[in-house]
Amino acid sequence: MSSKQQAYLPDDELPPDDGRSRGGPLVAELSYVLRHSRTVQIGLLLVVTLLLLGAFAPLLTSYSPNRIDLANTLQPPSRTHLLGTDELGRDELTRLLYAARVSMIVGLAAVAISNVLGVLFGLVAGYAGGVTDNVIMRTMDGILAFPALLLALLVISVLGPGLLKILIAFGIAFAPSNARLLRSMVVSVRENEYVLAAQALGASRTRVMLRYVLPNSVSPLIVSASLGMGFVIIGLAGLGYLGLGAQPPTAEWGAMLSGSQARFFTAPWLLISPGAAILVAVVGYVLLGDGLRDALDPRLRQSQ
Amino acid sequence: MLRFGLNRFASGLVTAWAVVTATFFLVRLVPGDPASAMAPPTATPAQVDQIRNYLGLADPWWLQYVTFLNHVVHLDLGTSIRTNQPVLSDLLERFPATIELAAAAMLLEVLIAIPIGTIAAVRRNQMFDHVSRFASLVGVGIPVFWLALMSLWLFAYKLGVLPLGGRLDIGTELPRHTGFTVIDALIDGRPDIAGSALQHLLLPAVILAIPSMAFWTRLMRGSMLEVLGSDHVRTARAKGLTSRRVVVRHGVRNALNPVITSLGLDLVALLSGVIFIENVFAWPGVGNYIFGSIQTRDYPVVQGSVILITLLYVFVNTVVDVVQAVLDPRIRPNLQGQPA
Repeated sequence: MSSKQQAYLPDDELPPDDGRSRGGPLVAELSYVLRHSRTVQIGLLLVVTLLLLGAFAPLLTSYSPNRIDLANTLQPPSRTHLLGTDELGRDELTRLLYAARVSMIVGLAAVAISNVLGVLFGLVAGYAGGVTDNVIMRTMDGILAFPALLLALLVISVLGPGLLKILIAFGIAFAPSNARLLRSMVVSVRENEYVLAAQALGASRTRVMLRYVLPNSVSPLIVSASLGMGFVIIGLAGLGYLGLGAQPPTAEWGAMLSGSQARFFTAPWLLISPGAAILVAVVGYVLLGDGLRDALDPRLRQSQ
Repeated sequence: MLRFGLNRFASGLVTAWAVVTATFFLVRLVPGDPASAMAPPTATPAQVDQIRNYLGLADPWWLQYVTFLNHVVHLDLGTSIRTNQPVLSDLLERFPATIELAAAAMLLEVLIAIPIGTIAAVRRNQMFDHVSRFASLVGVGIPVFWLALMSLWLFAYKLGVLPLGGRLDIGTELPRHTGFTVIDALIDGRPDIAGSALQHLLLPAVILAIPSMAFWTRLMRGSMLEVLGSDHVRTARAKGLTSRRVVVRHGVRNALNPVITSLGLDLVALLSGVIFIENVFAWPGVGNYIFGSIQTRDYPVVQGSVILITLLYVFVNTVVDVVQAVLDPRIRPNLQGQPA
């Protein structure tokens, strides 16, 4: 092993791949990573916990997230209200759990949109090459020149505020980097012998792209999807805080923070939990993405 | 070299044009009506029509496009509905406050992130590395507006050691020379005011810096690890140089490249961050102006600011690429400006 490879070693020193348990290449790779990378395990734990808390929110709490109880406003944390109540007497913990749903659903949807668009454009650009490639990729570069949050502001300035619009904005904002990533993979994958063989056997372009090129090009997108979730969640909270995301009475972490900001001195406990929830969610996805990147990148894998 | 510079600037111009064009089409092609988005919910259809005519949205699209390009070239970003001033002059008036904040934040980043990233790489997998990696992970994930609120609560309200917000204590008179309060106070020979201005600057600057600091620490650590494993560092060690000299002269200098490349990215992070930070700290800068414009649906300001900041970003990236090519000959042959 050269010193160059030494430097690339991940910090979760992964043991060498034993070559067993190979289903499909991607499935096997992922299950291998899952068994051996501590970073991925912790990240996955945080993410799955939040997904479950959001999914089973109605079973975990006896309150309704939007039910106003003016007799019990701004209660400090107690046994009946574990995290207290907000300015309208709504149970903070309940709203926190329901808000997890919003973040996870918007995050997954935005990442899904950006991946579908990215795969579509990246695959076509990389496989077709030439003018098509140039036109698609220069357009992507134009969108990529916008910072994501500002692109979202731009979209909202046309469509008005709302979760669906943020979802579209982030879906568009993150598509170009996915397209770039996939294109760079496609360009190298399409030169493989099995692709040439499929072409020689007379497979249609669509079939070659979907059956042979795409499955062997997607693994970097898994990493970017996980990191993308982190960006979307923090961006969604930011826009919610600005009043551009979830509209009242929908519970959303960023919007909850801006709602409680006026009760800064009288009810500081309302400030803690939504921010902490955002932090946990983002850290979970970043850990997952980091760990996957270290583990899936063949340069990083210990060779002996 | 000159050729590379000109080439890079030409492609920067193309990107700038693409940005302006993309803005134009995005704003007009996305389903939805800017006129009714801008109008208050109580507006009558006639009033909405009036706004539409005022914005020129009734013209054919190519005429709108040409008008739009012409305006942007002349830096005419429209008129704010709220202040009734040209967006550009409103932005320029508030720019010094934001530059002051961003410059302080960037200074903190450089002074803190680069040494920490370096030490973490040198002491890889030791205690220092673990702690700094954990801290930078939290720093990347923490929402700045939340951190701002929490620290304001702690330092200004609970402990009372730092001011609650603004650039100066209320009632302080300071004539405007440059628009930078610290410099203005020193010009006037008032070190006491300069000190107070620095106190006001401290908390917002630190919080604005934290996400980028975390990002740069991670970047610096990774880059440093790569450089420390490379042949020229091994040679330097073999020559018998002190390890301090190896790390600083042969390691850090080369490891800084990706950090410099991400300067443009960092600028964007800072300028996006000020939208939140300036609001929490009542800092009268560009971010606060944009925030207020969002709240009052003053969309010409939002669009004008987005265009201006994005163009600034494209410009900074171009300059960074050229400067880097001057500093590092390995980058030059690649005219796409994408260092490998």
